[in-house]
Amino acid sequence: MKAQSRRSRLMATATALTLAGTLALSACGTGETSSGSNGKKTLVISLDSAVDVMDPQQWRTPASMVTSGSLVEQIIEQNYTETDGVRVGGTDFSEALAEKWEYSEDGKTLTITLRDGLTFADGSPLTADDVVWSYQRGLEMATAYTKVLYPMVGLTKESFTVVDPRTVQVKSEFGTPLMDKMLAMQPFGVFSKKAGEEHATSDDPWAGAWFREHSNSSGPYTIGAYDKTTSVQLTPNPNYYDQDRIANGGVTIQFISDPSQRALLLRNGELDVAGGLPLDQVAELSKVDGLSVVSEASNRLEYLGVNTAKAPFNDKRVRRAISLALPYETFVDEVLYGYADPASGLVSANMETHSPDSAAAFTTNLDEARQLLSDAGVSGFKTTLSYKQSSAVEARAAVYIQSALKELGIDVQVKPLPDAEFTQRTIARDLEMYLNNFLAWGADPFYQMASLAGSNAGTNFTNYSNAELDGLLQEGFRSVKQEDRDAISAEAQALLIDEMPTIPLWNAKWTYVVRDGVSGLTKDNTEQLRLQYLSKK
Amino acid sequence: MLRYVLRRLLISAVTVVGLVVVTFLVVRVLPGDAAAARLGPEASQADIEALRAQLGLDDSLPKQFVDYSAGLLHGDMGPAVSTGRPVSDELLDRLPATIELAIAGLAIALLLGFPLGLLAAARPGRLSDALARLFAVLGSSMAPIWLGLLLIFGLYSTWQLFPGPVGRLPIGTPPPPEVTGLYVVDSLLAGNLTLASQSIQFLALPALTLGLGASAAVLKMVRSAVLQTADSGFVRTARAYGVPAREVLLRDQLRNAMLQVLTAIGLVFGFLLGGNIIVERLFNWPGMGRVAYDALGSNDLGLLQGYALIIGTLYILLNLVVDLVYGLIDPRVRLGGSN
Amino acid sequence: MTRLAVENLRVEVPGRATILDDVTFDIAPGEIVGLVGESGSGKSMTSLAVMGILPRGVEQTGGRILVDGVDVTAVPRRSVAHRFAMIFQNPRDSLNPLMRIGEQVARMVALHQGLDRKAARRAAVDLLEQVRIVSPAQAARKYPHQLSGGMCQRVMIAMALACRPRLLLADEPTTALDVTVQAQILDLVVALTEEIECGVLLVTHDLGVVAETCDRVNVLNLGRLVESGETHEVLGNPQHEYTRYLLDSARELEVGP
Repeated sequence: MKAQSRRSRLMATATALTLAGTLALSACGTGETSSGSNGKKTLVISLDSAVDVMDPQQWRTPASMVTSGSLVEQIIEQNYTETDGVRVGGTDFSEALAEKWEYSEDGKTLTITLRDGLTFADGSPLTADDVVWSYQRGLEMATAYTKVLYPMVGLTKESFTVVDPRTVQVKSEFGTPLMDKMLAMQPFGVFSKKAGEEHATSDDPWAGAWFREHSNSSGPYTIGAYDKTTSVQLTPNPNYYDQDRIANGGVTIQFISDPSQRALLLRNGELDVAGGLPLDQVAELSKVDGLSVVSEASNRLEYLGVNTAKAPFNDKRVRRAISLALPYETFVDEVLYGYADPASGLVSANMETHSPDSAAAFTTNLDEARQLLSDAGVSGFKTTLSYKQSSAVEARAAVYIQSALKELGIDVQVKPLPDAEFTQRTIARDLEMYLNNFLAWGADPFYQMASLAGSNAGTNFTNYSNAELDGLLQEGFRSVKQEDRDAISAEAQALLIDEMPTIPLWNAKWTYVVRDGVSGLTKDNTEQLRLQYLSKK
Repeated sequence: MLRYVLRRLLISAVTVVGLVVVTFLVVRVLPGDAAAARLGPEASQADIEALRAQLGLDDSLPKQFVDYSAGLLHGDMGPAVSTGRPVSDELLDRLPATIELAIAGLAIALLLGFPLGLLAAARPGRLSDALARLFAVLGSSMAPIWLGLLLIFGLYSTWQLFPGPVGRLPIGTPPPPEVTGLYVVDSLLAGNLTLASQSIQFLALPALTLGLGASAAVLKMVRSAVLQTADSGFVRTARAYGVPAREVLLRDQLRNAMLQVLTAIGLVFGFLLGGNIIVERLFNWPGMGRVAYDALGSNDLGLLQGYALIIGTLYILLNLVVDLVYGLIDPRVRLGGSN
Repeated sequence: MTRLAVENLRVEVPGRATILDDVTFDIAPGEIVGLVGESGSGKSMTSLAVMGILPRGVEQTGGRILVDGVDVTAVPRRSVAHRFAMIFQNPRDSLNPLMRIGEQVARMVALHQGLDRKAARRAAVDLLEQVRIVSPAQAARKYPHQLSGGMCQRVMIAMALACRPRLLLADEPTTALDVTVQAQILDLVVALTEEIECGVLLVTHDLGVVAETCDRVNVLNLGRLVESGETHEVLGNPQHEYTRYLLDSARELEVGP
């Protein structure tokens, strides 16, 4: 008997020794800094999602958008204002691939002249043909997200012409400042027509399948190593039109699905930048030496949507009453740990044409709310509040909303739904009350308002339809002069407060946690990072 | 023996067919429109319907099944709804990672559970038995996620003994040239000892998480199987004839208990294969479990079906192998013809 | 010298039940002594006690067991293990199903006679021949499940012989066998007993077997020895009513209703 236990003890010791020996063979890796081929330091970052699609017109996850966006360059780029190592894009633009770009008097025709000697990563020349092909693709490819944007700036299939190898003409039905904003977005980057035609098939004339996995980069990076389950490595593109803009030797995006793990790895030095962290952890990490929090105002709006086709939500007094019962400051402090700005309308506080007095409408005033409800002849009712199961933030907010509305006699049943089901039901527009969020690309107020409250807008899940509002917004899209835009927008915003088709709750900040020494985080008008500006000391 | 083998093969084949039907049906019961999920909220109704038509999501159930089965016979599991890539690519690419983790977990489970189970069975009722059983209770009551987090926090974050949960290798390290897809094996085959050692280090924590729980199961099975033999006639004979206790334990009890233990090990391994979804997610292990987890969120029918099918088939295959090994070991099956 | 002397043996489950109470008997070399009783009388326990392999929870709490004059309960088991052997009721169950029978016999040979593997294997084949197994070399390669019950019992006897025992304990050795085979086995046991001059304790409930083979017989009832003596006397002229009761029951079975 003794011999038997001796044997097992021996086995255990042997195992322990083997393990120890293995460990001794190589050091546990902490983030070792290396340099890219251009002599600059490389970075490792981790975002809130994995990268699975390399096509900026077909991306599925935010991390895919950032990555695919690095593989193309646009004709123009936003100008950034820099504060504390963070660059925020504004409403002015400069040339990128274009040497110059000029609008006609009436603002409807844009002439783009490309720089000389531009090439793709494979060395083939980048010409007007490629630009036109790319813009057509964004409109006509079945799976391109971008097609919804074209009507907003009056572009159609016939809008694009090649004038000569370096000149493109874009004709719109009306002039709008939104055009520049869009052309500067990463999905409007330039693809290689040659690569596209090589890999097109009769079912897939725009080579959607090929570009999902490959690229012929016109942007600052090319794809280095790519393992769909672990990471993607982006290496600087030697044929990029402006090498000086690339501030690093390459960026590796590591896919860490669990946000807490991401925070842990950042803390232990394995990552340089981490996004998508739970805000309570961000608050904690802000106290850690060697790390700092980057947090900028964002246009991403969290809203409480209601089904305006269904009683009692069809009465605007009821909607307004609900908006007067909500604890806006509490959301910011308790649900978002301070990393948000309270609601001030569908047009957020730092978007152009924002009416400064609209913030006043979003306060808590239970007396007025009760008065409105009784005016509407509604005493108390039952309803359900849905949101995506995966969202911890919305789960917390839902509880506060439930108790706030109880004060009005509204009995709210909180119902989280699996993400895919939530998407399906919002599209079907049959949810009574739901939490959702939306970001208008381009930071354009009319785009924002139209997307959330315009009739038949794909992202207006409230069934709200108001011809007067639609008319105002159409006017707004087409107005070029700032004072016109301000006036029209102000009128639209006032109308939206009066009607309250959807209730804005907060604007969560654009938040990243970075190691000290890392700078160059760039927030463009789609609120994604532009990786080429990241640098590390 | 031949009849035994043929019967087992037949049963396995029938089970696989049943598996195909069941996974096909169950996956379609889940709510949520995968096409809408794929195209995102900005997509128009027309686009969604076009995608649904293209993927055959609106065909009748029997037709979908026929299409699917036909594809299976060619090794085509259909496209993943969310990415459009073939399911077989998405999943089978990741299979080696899952298998490597499962094997490592099993190794730990055996290294711990086997000797402890033997120890417990050798002296039932004594202190060693009680301690071993305490270990078993702890092991089986600790949820993997809790244990995993504990290990990460303790062994990585606090004491820096093992690397962090970034996956199978350090960030930026390319994998060894692929032969089996198991990094430890492939590194050794390529003669790269550093890489092999790194692979083992990264394997350690997730394997421990999986293995500790499973070791409890192995311990209990070994203990009970060996104890059962203690009451059998031939053990009585051996003891009666003065065969030393250690030899009785190993030659008579253990060998005969092995039959049962082997079957149980097969079960444990199968469980490890499927049960490591949580562990994979926790440790960012790029295996099939990760894919399945994400597929649940986007209700990707193709992936979910494929995952269930692959794991299920592996499990059936595993049981088949165990049965066949059983047949080889046990002369009553191998030679047949008892009087 | 007496092969086996059991004196005042007391076996019980401590605190619960008494299994054997003050049992005394002996066996001379070359003698076959029967131990009869119904099930539950404690006869199997007696042989287990003598062998020193009482089940868990059961203990010998009184009396002595002397084999060739040595008190086997007072010394370490291993030192006296070679003195006895035992064969059991279900011979196939008593053999390791995963080991060839030749190997199993050889193992006992190696253990008790100290031979190396090769020699032990050869000795095993000889033993198989001694127990009248046909083609012993071929039989040695078989597994227990490939042999008949009678063959298995022969193998058990071979294993017993390998020990060159002073005492052979046979617990219902023929109960599970066909009637025709029973006779063969019993003849074998008798023959071998004469050859090696061991003592045999034959535990059984079958009086017919006792009549055939035993020189003397002890009758056990609920743990107590109620009668003992020469077989023909005890069976022909039973003194104790329990003995008479056993005889009557046996006769009923023979004659039938």
